[in-house]
Amino acid sequence: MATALELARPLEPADEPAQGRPAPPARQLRCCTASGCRAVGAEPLVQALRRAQELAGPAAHGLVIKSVGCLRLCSRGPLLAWDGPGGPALFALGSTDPGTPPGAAIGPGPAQALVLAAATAPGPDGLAALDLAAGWPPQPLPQGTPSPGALPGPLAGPPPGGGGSSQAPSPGGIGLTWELLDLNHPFFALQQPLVLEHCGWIDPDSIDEALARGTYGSWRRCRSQLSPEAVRATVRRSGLRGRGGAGYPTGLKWDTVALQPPGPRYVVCNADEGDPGAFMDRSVLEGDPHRLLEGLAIAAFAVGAEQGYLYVRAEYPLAIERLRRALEQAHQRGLLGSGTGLELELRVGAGAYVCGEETALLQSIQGQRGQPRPRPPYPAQSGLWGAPTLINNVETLAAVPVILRRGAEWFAAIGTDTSKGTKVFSLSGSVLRTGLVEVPMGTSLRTVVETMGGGVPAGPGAPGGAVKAVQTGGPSGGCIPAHLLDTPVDYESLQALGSAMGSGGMVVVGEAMAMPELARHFMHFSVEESCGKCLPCRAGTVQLEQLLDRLLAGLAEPSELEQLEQLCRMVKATSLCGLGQAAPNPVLSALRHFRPEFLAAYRSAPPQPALARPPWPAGPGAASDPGGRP
Amino acid sequence: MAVVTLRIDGQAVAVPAGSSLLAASRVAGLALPVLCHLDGLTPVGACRLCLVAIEGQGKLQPACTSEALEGQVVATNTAELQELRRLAVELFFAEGNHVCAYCVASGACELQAMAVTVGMDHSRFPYQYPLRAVDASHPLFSLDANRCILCSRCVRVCAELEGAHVWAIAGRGRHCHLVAGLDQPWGEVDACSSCGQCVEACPTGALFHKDDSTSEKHPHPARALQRRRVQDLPPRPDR
Amino acid sequence: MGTGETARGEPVPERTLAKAGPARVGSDPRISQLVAAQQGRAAGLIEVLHRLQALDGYLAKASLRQVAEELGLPLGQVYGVASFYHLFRLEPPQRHRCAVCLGSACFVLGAARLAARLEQRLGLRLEPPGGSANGPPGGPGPARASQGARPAPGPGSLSPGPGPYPGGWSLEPVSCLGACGQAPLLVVDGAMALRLPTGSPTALEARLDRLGLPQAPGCFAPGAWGPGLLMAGER
Repeated sequence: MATALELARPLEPADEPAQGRPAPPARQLRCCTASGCRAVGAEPLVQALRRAQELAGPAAHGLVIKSVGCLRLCSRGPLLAWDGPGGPALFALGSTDPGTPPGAAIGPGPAQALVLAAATAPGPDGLAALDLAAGWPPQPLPQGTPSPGALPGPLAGPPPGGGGSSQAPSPGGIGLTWELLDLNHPFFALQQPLVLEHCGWIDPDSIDEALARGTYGSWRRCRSQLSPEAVRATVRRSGLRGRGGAGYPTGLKWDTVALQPPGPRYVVCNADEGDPGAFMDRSVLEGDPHRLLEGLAIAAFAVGAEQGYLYVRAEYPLAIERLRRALEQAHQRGLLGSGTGLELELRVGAGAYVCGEETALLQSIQGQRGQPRPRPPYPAQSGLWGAPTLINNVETLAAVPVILRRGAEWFAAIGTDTSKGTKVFSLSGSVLRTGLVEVPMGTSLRTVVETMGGGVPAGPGAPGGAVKAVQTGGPSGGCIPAHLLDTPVDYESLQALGSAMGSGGMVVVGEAMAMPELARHFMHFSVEESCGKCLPCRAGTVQLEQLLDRLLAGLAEPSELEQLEQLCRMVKATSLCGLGQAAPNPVLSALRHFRPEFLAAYRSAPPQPALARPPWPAGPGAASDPGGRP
Repeated sequence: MAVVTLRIDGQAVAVPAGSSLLAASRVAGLALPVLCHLDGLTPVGACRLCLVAIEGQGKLQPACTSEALEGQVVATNTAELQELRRLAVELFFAEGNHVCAYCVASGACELQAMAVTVGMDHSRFPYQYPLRAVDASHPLFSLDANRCILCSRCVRVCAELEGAHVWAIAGRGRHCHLVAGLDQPWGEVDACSSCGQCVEACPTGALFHKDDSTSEKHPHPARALQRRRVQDLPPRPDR
Repeated sequence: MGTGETARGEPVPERTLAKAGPARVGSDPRISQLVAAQQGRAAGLIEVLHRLQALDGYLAKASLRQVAEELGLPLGQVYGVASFYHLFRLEPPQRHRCAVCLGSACFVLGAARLAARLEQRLGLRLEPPGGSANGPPGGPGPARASQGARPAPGPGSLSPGPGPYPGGWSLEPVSCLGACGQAPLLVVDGAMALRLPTGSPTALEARLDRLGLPQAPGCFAPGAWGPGLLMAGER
């Protein structure tokens, strides 16, 4: 079993063939500027730090300040990783006002203190002692004061005051906190960054940094030493399965495309990550785009395609920008484009979840309505403009370079018998620690959600750690109830419980959320995203939503439960594509694991006139209380 | 030309390779229910009424878009399929505003015939009463969108047979609706050649001749194979 | 001249294409440039529409007609594509836009309550972006702040009826803005508002005031959401 690799330490040289992996600069601040941290002001933070560095003069010259991709613990952003003596270390900048993005609130004084501290602190504990208001260096502490790093629970949330953090009133009176995060905490320590191995280390806008860490090395080996058959055999032996949700064996898909009759072929990267709450693919696109381009190039080589497309949803503007830049850079360096045998083109979606479905995605690339096609024929046989087309998910492709580098057997040794390798999950919802988690397949849900994620935070009406359920697979998946949290996360186990791995979005649900309400939320999503081509999805989901509305309003008769289940089965069995086929899953899964809660919502007696209509206003979901943020 | 043999509802049939399961079922003398299918147009598999069960496959497949393969064992009328078809027709009726009493196509309407075939005389689903419009701007024909079931036959016949590309489906999901040109009144779309093929292709009373009144829309004789008049159907099955 | 293709992949017959060729009087040279940037390929339609909307804020019918002509595509096909994707707007946008995230992570943290409050405050119904919920030809358009009231929804719907409309605002749902760590979220005129206190009506109201959201005349005061709808633990 491979060792659990911490985010902090670069891969040990002993694990790897001689790689020449560069050591980071002596002093460096890596600032996460992925979308999650951007929402809390990462961009103004980086600018403020750079300005402060200029003004600070020679004392701060040795410090490298750079923008990197996701540093994993999104709920504590903006995050900064520090490389220096005794490092690396991870810090969180916080704000005492939850509504104010901390990165936007840092003034020139605190920014300069931070820069000087990063440039001169003797070690992580020293940097942790930074007082943003008082400046740098800090005054010596009175005897007996515990050192900041020794205080318990640094990941539990910004402490009310003191201890490992400092308050600094900025203009406008917003207090800032500065806190050292514990990289030995399971949230970090149990991660095995494989797909995300460079994410958070490199500047995604720098192809040189990617190259220095070995990106495009496998692609070069392909072109100079390997045959397409050998590459496909390696991927087959690795046991890699599609990470977009279906879990189809990747090597088999590659073979199917490669063995079609001669003629043009295409490769397509499905970056239309539409599941709400899923941001795994986005993190790769924003944090290590060259890794994805390498994976896609290797796939094209393996199946004999000369033209490829990356289809990215329009709601990811930063990912689009970084991909465009990466494509340009790769072209300039001769890694893509003429002479390499591969042209890649970026295509932007336009707001249709259904375009995450393979055949609908192809229609969209062809400039048409994103309506799925009947399968068979499958895209591997007849895809873009009728030609054999390989479509793979971002995470699937991003795993390929490391499989080629470390070997199929190394990859297959991670995970379970049927689900090899690691999986990236995005943890969100009613959970203490929201963020990105990459763990070996087979890790239990409990480990991810409670040990790493911290469970449901304490709040009014909810004891801490009281997970009610975990929704996996988004609108196509289902919920796993708390008593089944020891289920290992792999394709088969989750399917057996009526859910699905899906693309990796994990939404944690607390006791305050009513399951019928959650089911209705997902059904509404399917109603809005249905393409409308086939009757069962177009009309059936509307009827299912209304059945659930009646249930939530307290108007439903017990006989409607049978109707609900019957219509769910009909939509599942007769819909044209995966969207419709899976639309009833959240309902069916909630009925399976939380049936008493549903039964209680059905009326046992005729309604009293006063309850015939809920009081106005009754907006979406107003009938019950999902808990809310205090 | 290669030939494939397969069994449909216990009957052995031989068809040219590349035939659809729907074509094979007709060789077997079966009349699979269809609404979005029309011979001569590209099949789309949208209405889901022709779904069949293929042995060894968990998912039901639409006969119109599935290729008949050697050795397949296919069932077209299981109890499950019957129930699914009835639910589908109930959904159709609840989705639009289908009032047979004064409809131009009553008596010769494929949706109406389908209701009789599957044994449906009321829908268990609440009627949606969508707000839909009538477009009477064309000199010869009219579109009553209340009766449209979005089968897209008109779109395909106009694009594939006439080549005029007048019709398209706009919107998404439950908001899908038929448009002419750039969502213009039909009468203002230059590309329309008034050939009337869309009216002939339309299975319901959505597209009709202005001359026709209640129950006066009749199918073109060439469509005899796809059409059945209500009175020609076998007695309603017991439930 | 475009290389138009039907949905079947066949070339569109000459006679059905509007007469394309050198730019006609009144045609927009920017559109010609956008089409040229896609080498006139019909498959580039969505890219052209993206860039066109980035220039004009929405897709006007006259522009769609020119796009169809220059790409060699049937009018209906172009309209069908433009109306399918929620990001494309077929009407000019409102001056102010409020987008509320209804993704699952935000939902379990009370986004539905936030959306309900926004509907009351702005006097608008949540509308899928782009107005593609227009409905059939001749039917009423979506409720926009400057237009008339939307007809009452059908039976079984629990949404509030038509209300007064403050000028110039639109309210859209989005599904996942990708900042799940800061849920629940709102975007007002491009600025993101984080961690909205959906569990506390007065605190929420204060944040909405700070964001500059107007109050439609006659809308309910905060907290008066009706009997039975007050949250456990709140007073």
